[in-house]
Amino acid sequence: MKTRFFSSRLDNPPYIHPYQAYLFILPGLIIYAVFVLWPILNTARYSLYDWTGFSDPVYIGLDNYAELWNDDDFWLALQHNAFFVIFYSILPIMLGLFLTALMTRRTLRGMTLFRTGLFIPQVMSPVVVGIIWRWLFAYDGPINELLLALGLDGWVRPWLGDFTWARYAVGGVGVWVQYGLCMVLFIAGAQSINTDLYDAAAVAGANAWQEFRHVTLPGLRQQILVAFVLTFIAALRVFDLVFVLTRGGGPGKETIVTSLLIYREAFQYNRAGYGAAMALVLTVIIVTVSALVMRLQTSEEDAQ
Amino acid sequence: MIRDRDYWRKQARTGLTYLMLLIFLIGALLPFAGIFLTAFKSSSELAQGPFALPETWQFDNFQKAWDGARFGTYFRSSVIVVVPVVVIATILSTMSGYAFGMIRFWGDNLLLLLIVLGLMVPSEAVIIPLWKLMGTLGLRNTYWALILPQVGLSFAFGTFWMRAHFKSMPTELVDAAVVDGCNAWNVLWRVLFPLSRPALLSLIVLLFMWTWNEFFLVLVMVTGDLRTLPVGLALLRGRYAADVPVMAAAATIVSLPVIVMYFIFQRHFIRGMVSGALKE
Amino acid sequence: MKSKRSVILLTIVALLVALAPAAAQDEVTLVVWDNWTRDAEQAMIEQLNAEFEEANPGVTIQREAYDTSDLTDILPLALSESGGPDVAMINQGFTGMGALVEAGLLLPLDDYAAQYGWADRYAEGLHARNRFTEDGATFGEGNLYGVSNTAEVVAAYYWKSDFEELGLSIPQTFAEFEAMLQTIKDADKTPIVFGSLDGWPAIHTWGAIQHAYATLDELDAFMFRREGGTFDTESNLVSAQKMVEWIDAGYFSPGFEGMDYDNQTFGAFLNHNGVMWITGSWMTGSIIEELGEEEIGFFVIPSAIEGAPPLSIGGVGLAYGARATTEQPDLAAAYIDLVTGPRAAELLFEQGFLPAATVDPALLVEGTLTADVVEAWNTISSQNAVGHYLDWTVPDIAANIQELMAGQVSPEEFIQDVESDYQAGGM
Repeated sequence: MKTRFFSSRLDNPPYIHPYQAYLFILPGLIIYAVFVLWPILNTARYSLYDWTGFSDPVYIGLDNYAELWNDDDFWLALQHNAFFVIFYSILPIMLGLFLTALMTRRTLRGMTLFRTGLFIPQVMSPVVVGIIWRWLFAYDGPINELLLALGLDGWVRPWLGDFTWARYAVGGVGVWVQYGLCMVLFIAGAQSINTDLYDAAAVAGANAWQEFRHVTLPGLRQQILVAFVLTFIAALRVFDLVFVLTRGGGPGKETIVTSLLIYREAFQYNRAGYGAAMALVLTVIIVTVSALVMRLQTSEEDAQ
Repeated sequence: MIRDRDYWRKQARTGLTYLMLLIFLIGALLPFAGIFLTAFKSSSELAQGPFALPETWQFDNFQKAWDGARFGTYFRSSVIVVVPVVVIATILSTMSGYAFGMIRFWGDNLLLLLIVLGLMVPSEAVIIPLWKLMGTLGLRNTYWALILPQVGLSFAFGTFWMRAHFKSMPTELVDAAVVDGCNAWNVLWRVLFPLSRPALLSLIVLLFMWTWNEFFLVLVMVTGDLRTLPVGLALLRGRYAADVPVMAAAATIVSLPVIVMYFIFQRHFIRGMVSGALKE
Repeated sequence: MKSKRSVILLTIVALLVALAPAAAQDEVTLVVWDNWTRDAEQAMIEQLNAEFEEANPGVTIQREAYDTSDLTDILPLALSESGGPDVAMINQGFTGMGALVEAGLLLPLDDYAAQYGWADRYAEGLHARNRFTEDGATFGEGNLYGVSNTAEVVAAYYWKSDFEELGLSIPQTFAEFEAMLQTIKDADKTPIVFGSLDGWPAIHTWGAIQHAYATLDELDAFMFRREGGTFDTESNLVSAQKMVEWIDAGYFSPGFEGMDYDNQTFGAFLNHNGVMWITGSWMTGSIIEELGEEEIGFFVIPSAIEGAPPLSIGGVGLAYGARATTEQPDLAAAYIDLVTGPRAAELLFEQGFLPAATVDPALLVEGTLTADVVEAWNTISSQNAVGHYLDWTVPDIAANIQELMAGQVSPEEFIQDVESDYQAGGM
């Protein structure tokens, strides 16, 4: 559908001038440029300095990055972020696909109710989510009480303070937050898969697994990509939740993540330059992966 | 109809689907139910378990959270920040989305790319220079320190969003308006804007939610009474932190506006988040 | 279009009004930043400020209050920019005051100290904590950059009713203290309420044991990074082993690894889920608010070294310092003098704070928590037994202590980990 007009290249009536486009964009663009673009560029610049944030910066070239490369804490934090990708992205996506695979009819009754409810964890502030789960995971809290009631005394532990299990506890909350998103996305996507394909599969004698693999899964590719990007970015950027659940990095350093490290280095240890370097690395990772996935998405769109 | 094996198998699967959906649904809602109920209890009733109903539904805890724990103040802060951000960003995004979506001009792809960049970068990438910038401008620890960056970030998403919307609008509308003698400004506000309710509503609720829940930026930029609700909740210390029902009431206060917005606009909410929302 | 134009006009006018500099004043304004954020505290400091303004006509005090952690975060930037505070409360230690001194942001106060006689306010050992050499590299000596008006001591709060019930009295030796723990445990109660989720409470709890075994010289050398300062000492090893022993014996709250400070530990103590709580005197006000003055007591933990004073973690609170580039240094010093002096101490005490200067014994009511706390401070202050907050020198030590307590590392490994952190500069 042709929607582009007022083009300077086409012979358009002169009552709309292309330069007016700039006027429409300008106010927002100014605020955006000053408060988003300019800071992004500055983060890159600060990363090349040794700077406390309030005294004179000293140029040190790539030394911050060299130090970062050797910084065990940084790699540990990245590792934890990767760990959370499993719980934020992979598991919820699998749960969503599992649910979609079960569905035989494409439309279910009461979908609105389910959709509305499943989505609520996404809507809440991660701080509220953190407060609630901290209370649930408390040593004398509901989860342990339930375990006791079920006779599973050996499983009772101080979850968020336990060196082995804290990460899994935090990961578990991640699954809980994200699975609703994936389910809603995939169910909506499944509803738009052409039913002819399912009929064809039935005629060909496909069983449930084959039907899933050859019809449902390909049909959901877009949604899976979107779900993956959203949850992947969330896993890499997680801050609020970990801050509240484990008060900044868990027992010892068990749940420290990159954004917490950036906060600590830049704002508590007065190493703004170092923090900027870290932030830049994190950004590059996120932007690269997002760009890759978006590339996949648009090539899909074109193909379709 | 022959009720053969296949039929029953399908029924079983459907039943199982509903069961799983129900389990997941309850799983998603139960924790909130627990905290919500706790907010109405007195401390002594805690021992009965999280899901026991309170004997009398007390509002004491809310009172304490509001006054004693200063959540009334934080609520005010949140509103002071969220309203300007949503209003200004929506207006600016509508304007620029219109330009990108309907006018072809030199550099439009480049500018768009710059704006999309803002969608993808995390707030960690901008926080340090922003903090320094606010200091230089003398705006640190003011509401502007929270409003301006969030307008900027919301503008990026909003432009993207409204552009997609405007691109999908039929050209005949514009043609007719132009024939009637409208200039570009009037075309936008007199003709297209009134017809854009779904897209605008989605945008507004999304921006509201994200700004209301914003944590990291608020944590770094402001202190004390200027804090918004999420930060106030996370940093709650002192005697109220030891009082679980008060904490629960505080958490409820923080969540209520978003939940209300959500229920009113949930169709738009979900559609908004689901259609390639990449602001996070 | 018309409405849009008027909006733009209004915005410009509003901006101009907002940014217009305040009319030049003949009066002098002193900008002060402090951490008196609670209502009662505000009333106290406002009164002091009013007295200062009366004594110095033409001077107005412009005051801003921040929570302690906020203050430490935003102060560096504020001091380095124009229009920042003339006087502010500063956190001690390398990352706090040290960093500011290094950046040349603080005014040396030695001349004023001599002029006003601040040396008499409290022991020199405590003043040392506000000293740095000009380059900010050496802690504990050099110029004086701040004067504190409150004090803190980390010791044990206890439920008097439990002590009565079990026939216990304030321990006079460390061995007695340990025996007491077992007695309480045998009576099926939790001896020490504790929660380490937040990290730093572990520093105080382990630190309490460490201070029982260490000498002040050892600690000073370590904290101030003097010659021979090291973490690898016999007393530290013994303390680490002792900690592990006590955990195995079940002397701490069950599930302490998962308990946070404000919510669960404080709550546990208030709800009488344990007999004692080893934490700082800063909680006195909150405890009195909830439980009154009579039910809870406070005592310092005796040393394990024969005949030694009860070395305890403690020190003086945030120090009042002045900006190096302030335009009224004399006025700033005069204000510091007032706010750290006897009149201030009086008002602070009324608010339930522990003043750094000595409190008039006549003001103390025997048997109250407040009296106990003041006595505790007097004991360690007069006997030169004020210890240190370990994270001033090794900021990450909380994580190491958590590892020790969880059995992730052995006491020997714990010592080595902290020592290598310390040698690497503490980060």
